[in-house]
Amino acid sequence: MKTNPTLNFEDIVSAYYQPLYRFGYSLAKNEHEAGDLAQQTFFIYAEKGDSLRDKSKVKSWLFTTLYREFLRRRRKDGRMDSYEPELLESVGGSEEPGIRRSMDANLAVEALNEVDPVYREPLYLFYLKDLSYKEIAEVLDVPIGTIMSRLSRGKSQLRDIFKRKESETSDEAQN
Amino acid sequence: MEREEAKNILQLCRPNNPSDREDPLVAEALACLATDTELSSWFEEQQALDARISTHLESIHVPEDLKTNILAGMRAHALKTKPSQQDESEEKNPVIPFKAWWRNPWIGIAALFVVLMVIAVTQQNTNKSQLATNNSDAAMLGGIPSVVQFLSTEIDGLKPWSFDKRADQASELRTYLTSSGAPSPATLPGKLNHMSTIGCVTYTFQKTKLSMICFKDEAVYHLITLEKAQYPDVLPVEPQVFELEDKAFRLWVEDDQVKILIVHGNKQIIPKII
Repeated sequence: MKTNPTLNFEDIVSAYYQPLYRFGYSLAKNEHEAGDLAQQTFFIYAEKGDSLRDKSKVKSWLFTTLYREFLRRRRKDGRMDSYEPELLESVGGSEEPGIRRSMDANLAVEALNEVDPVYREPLYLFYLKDLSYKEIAEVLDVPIGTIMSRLSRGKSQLRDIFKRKESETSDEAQN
Repeated sequence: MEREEAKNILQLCRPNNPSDREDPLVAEALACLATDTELSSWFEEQQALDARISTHLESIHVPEDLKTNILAGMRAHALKTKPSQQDESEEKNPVIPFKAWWRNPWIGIAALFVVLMVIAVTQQNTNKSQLATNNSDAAMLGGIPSVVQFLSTEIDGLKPWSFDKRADQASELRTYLTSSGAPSPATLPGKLNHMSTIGCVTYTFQKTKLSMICFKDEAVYHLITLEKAQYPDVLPVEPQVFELEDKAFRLWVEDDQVKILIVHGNKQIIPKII
């Protein structure tokens, strides 16, 4: 979706709160944090959005802001109540019961979690389909060529994992 | 355009996403489909799978009240800040006649005070570092090197997603660290050689790059490596063992590297590993 430069704040929220929430969820693996990240992103936009001269960049600005906010929180916060090896073994944090109910989403998220971390974020943004590969490079602050190769390698890994998970799921369903 | 190159570019084209097809690079690769049947069938298969993955991700449920909450939160914030900001600015910043700051004698006194403080602190630091060359502990807070204190906090905050790379083989993590320009342990001490790993993380502390590999046995052991030349504290001559909060630390120099082993527990655990 191309950004209309004349959109007001409410229009912008309507247009992007869902993709931003999904991106937030893919990063945080947590419903509450995803909602919080989306809310915080719009809050920052309300505070600083006026300084954005090129209004056609609102979409990538919002994704970039959410991503940076996520990274900032990860750096700042990180307290674990107990430091158990079992916890370290679990990949990507806890999944919320609400998300577990959506098996389709869960399958894709689980498959993406098994991809090497360096490919994961570009892949999420790619499959959420809101940003072009050039915008993905902008959001993640890496050169376009790097994004192209990460997408290519990451997709190759993801396809294998996803196919395997799909067949496991259908086997379970048959049994 | 070669088939392999076309494949690479076509991977950027998502199904039902017309804007991707508008990209000149993608458009050029798409044009190859007309003349290359093998490429065409490969592309169809890729698109079908991409469509399935996208559909799955798009089914992530977004809370119904999220938009309302965002808008309500913004309205509340606007109401709270706007009037008070105006009031405050009127109350706190009454119009006063302009007076150049350099004509204010208090500014001069404050500046002099700041200069004296800077001189005093600098002098104090110089004395400390001179002492440290004679007694390594003196440069450290409570005898614990600053890097150890930093690591203790970082380990407390370690989360499953903190790892730069996860692998159960130390060799894989060491190769990864080397390739990413981070310090990688030239050798592994004692029993760590036989332990499986969880993953590795890199940190920057006072402009010094540190790498940490986490090993798993009955407990989790953290091996930190940094270049000796970049070590931010006073280098110990002999291996040093500390206890800080709920962790034990062993710090030693090995060739050009400084290594720190950290484990939850007391000092007695360390000799069992090294």
